[in-house]
Amino acid sequence: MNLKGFNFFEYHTQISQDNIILSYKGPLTDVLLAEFSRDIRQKLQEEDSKVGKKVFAIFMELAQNVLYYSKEINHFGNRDKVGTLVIVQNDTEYKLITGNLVYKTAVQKLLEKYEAISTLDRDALREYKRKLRNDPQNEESKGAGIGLVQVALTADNKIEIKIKELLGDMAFYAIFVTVKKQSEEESNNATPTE
Amino acid sequence: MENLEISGKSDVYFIPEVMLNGSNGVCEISGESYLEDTDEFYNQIINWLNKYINEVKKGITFNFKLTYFNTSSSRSILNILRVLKKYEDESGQVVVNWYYPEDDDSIAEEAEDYMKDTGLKINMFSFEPEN
Repeated sequence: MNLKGFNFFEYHTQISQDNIILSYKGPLTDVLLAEFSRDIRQKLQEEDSKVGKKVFAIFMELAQNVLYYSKEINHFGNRDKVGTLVIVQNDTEYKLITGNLVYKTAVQKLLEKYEAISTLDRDALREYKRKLRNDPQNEESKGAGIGLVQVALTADNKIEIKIKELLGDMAFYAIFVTVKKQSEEESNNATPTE
Repeated sequence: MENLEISGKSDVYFIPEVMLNGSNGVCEISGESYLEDTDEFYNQIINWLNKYINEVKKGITFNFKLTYFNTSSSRSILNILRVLKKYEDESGQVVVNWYYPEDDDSIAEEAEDYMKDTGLKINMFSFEPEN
């Protein structure tokens, strides 16, 4: 491995910017996830309860994805799943980023799902979520298999995924989600009637 | 028939508050739902409902008052609604009320999607969650 490419001080400067809400890379457990999510919820809901809840809900789904599906295992200790969780903000938006290893053989399926998600409008996306939720649960899926679709719906924004093939049978899978701080819904309050 | 009561708690996982009344068929699930074993948790509710339907055979009013649930729980909720729809189709009396936090459009949308999925009528009400 090339260690020259890694500059610890640069890395430290990057993650010390005050626009970073969370930056974590390491073994992930349910206890850790609970700690992170509690902090995020408290901190963000103080600013704007509606947007804060969105970020919280998205974070939960993304982090659960890492927890369920990461193929990187920490061989030290309890063989926990390893992943990266990042939340940054600027004046207008929050950005959530998660990354974890997947098998190259799973990449095609991930891309297909992403293709579907990124081309559909909101109504079609809801339709797609219903279709996936009605399908029988597949064996690898610990969740409902609709996490990413729900993330796109909750964010109300295009999500982005990036896959970087690594040597061997693994690939690095990253998801980028943006949540606007000022939601447009405020002007057109489209809540269903009772 | 005995009630099924589960007290809610949000700690490492979020366990919703469950109160299923075996004498009058009024059922409520409230709070937050994110569980270590989602199927195991919701199967208790589904088993209780099936028993009620087979033994008590009276009406059921099911109130959902959740402020947060993950997608895994959303699949289990769909399974509950399917049981209720089947009972209704077999001429059981079923009322489903869906309370959604007033600032949460996606929980409201879920009810609309569940109606499409199951064909059940779901009454929707917004409420102000206490924090």
